[in-house]
Amino acid sequence: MSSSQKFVLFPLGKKRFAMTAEQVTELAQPDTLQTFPHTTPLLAGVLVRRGRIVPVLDIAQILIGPNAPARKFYLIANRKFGTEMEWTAVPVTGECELMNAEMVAPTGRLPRYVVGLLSLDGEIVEVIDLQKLATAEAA
Amino acid sequence: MKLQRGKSRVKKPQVEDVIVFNVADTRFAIAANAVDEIRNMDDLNPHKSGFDRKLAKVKFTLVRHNKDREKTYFVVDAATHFHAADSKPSRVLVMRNSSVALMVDGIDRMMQITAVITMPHAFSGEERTWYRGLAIMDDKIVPVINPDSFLNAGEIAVLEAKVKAQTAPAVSAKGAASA
Repeated sequence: MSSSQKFVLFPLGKKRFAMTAEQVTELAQPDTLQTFPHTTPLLAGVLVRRGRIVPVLDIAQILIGPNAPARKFYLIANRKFGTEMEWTAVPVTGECELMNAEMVAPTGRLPRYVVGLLSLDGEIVEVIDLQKLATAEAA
Repeated sequence: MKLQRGKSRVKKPQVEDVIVFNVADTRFAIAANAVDEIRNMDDLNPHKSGFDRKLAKVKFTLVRHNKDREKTYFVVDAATHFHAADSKPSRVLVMRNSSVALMVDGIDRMMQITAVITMPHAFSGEERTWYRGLAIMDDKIVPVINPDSFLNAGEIAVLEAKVKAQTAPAVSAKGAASA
């Protein structure tokens, strides 16, 4: 039995990261980021997309640091809050890729939001759990 | 036989009057019925919060001599409250049924909104109490203020006690002099 799963790979600067495809709704073109005062870490603002207000979670600050290059697209992901699902836009620096791969358990001292690793032609890609990343930062 | 026209089943959207105002670079909205008066910056008395950092946003007190002159309003600087910078306050919104007034940069307009959209769950900070929700005006997001979020009952009690303590010695000294 194969444990192959679908993942969406997204670039942040020179590195690539992945999310399970079931978390991802779509890849969106650049849109106008709207901001207003708030105190939630990582939230850069909101987008209005098809009449819905979509919070923008800038995870690049955590994954590659403050000097991340300009983000070009938004990956729209689903986050679960209790029983409700909500869209979250994740700014990424280039085009994304959908692929089947086998995830292995994380090794070493990786942060809790890294839920697995993909080995792709010598490149090790960290699989990110958006919910864990956001809650870890908020805590 | 006279035919009666049936009642329309199309629900009219609930319309709410709001006052749109600016603080630094942000537009906010507040329910018009939450505001008693919009004033200029006249008649404000400087207020020092002392060591209580939470109350540092109360910059002035206000007594309206033409209306409820026994009541002291605590004027909150909206920019400090929302952790915003580069504010140039020029107007004061006096809240209805409250001891709070809000210092803002300017009034943009009055308008009607048909929906206040619940804050997305992703927002988990102080903004959950600051805002009733978000409104979309001309494709722009405008936070709709919760007027009860500026000062809680405990903070107002502390401020009122402080004002009483400041006025009490003057009264007792006057009483002593007349005696």
